[in-house]
Amino acid sequence: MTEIFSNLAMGFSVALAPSNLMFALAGCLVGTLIGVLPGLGPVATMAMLLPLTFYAPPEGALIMLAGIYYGAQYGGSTTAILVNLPGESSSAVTCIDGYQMARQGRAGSALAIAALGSFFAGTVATVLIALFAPGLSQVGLAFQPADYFSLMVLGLVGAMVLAHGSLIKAFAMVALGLLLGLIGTDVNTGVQRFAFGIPDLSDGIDFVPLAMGIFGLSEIIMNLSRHEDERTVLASTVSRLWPSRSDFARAWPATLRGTALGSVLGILPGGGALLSSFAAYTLEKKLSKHPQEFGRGAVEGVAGPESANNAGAQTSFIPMLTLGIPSNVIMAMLIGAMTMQGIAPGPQVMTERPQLFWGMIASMWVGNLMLVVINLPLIGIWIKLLSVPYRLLYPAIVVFCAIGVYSVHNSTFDVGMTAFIGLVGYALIRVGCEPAPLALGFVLGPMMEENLRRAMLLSRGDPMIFLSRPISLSLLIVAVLLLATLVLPSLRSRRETVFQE
Amino acid sequence: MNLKFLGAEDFWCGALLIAIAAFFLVAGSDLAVGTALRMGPGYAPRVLAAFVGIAGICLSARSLLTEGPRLRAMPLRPLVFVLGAVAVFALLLDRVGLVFTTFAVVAVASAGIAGRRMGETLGLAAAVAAISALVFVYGLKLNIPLWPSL
Repeated sequence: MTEIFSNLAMGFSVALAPSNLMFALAGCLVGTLIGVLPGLGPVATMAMLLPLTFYAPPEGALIMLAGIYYGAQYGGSTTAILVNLPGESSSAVTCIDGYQMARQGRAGSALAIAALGSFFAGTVATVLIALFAPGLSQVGLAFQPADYFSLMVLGLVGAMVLAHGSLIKAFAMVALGLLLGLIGTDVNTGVQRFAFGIPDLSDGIDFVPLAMGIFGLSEIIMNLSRHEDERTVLASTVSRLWPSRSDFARAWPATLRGTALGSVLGILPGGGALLSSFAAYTLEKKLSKHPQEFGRGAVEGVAGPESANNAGAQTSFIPMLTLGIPSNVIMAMLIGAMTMQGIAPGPQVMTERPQLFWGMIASMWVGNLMLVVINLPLIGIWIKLLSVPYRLLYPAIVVFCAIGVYSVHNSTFDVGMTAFIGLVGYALIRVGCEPAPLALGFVLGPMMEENLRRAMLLSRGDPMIFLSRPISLSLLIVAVLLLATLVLPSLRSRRETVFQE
Repeated sequence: MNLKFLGAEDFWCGALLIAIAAFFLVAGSDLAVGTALRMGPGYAPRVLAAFVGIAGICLSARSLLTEGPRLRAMPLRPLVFVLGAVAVFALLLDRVGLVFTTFAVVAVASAGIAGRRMGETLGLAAAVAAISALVFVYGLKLNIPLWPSL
């Protein structure tokens, strides 16, 4: 127990170092900014800033990127409540009741509850991470290739099950992502795969162009394809930035439930902020004594999801920090940043670089504190920013995206590749496929092939190794159970309702 | 024959996936497959491409048999001009430098929405060029050519 305190103390000494505080502040500000602005998400922003992190020390780089992620959760709720536009996809649920609260003149209450609930959830999540991460790292050290492979299978199955819509399409996206990840030089044999003699492809497609094309560009195109609705900003009604007594009384149990739910769902492969917020809304509606109020300004509909999405965002760091496995695309970006710094992600990070590990955990709490301080007073500025018409914003975003992709390898080929991927990605999205499973498959593809090969070598060609090792077996069983939720009709209808707003 | 399936989202999704799978199967046909014990470079790609193709076939077949979501109309303008803007960036940057490229990119991207004004676009382009130069080249010291190499 005392060990946790000393670890956290070390972590705080790292997190509170002036340079790291600046990085955290930068991340939180940028994160809030893009969270407020619809049309630009944390993935695209992290992809843009990823090349810049190369010049920063590893702790600062990761702290800033992490700040962008949970900062965006905070920012998104502001837009959701005031403008009925989800600045961030996980804030979509907050729109439902938050905007109604704003229309009833309770905007200040809604904003305060969202911010405070998120801070509470962030604090709890930080404590949870500090408690469980070391144990999980220990387990991770016992992993062998077969176990890693099964864990990644679980991750991909999670992404498939938790994606919206058709399982077949999600499966195809995962397979396609894995396939795209294999483009380039095969590490084992040195053979070029799908490179067509183009030198820029000999290392494969970089993650940044893929992420930028499939998430950033396609999102901009989708936004433009929808006609812009009238954006009425309810700035005049933000008077008291504090929850009313009745709101507070109903909100805090919802906050507790949301935090608990988000903490659990965040760890799941494929989980994170988005799933947590949707699940929390469904839970609140089911448990409420006044379900008819939902959609008309029920404060639980704001408190629950907002706490859940913050808790989910932070606990989704756990598999990445302890096992080196990304449970969602955001974590994949952080792994990309670590790799750029020459740090191999995995269970050994905790023992080899404790300052990085504990510094990150501590800085998440610091970041949460900064966000509460930033968000509540600076609401006026964020509101002004929302009035900038999208038609002026998006060309600037396009330019910044292009510059960001270019700067990774000083390669215009990468930029062209981004456009091409944007085209294919948009086509896939238009026919109903989701990009997230593809991105996850892309990141995990080479690792999975590597581990599969090693596992087969160790077992001398015997595929039963995946079932005979206990870790691998239990992971695969969980994967099968997840798949079963899709097949059994009773659970199937529950899954549908989770995804119906 | 009932041609309703041509409007079905699933049909086109399946067709796209089949095309992608076929592409990878053909492009990777010269890679050694090997065995499960000694996997060649072509083993995983072939299996994965097969998965994609099978999924595509299932989707297209399903669209022939059951009613699914319809394919929504896709406005071409944003697609062409946003992606075109990125392509313009890739083509011009090494030739004319960041400042001129930014102007071109903003101009092309702005065409993605109808009814924009020339003066506004020029002003925006100038602002974006200035911000980019300040932030990325002077501030973050990235190695991006600002002007054409003479």
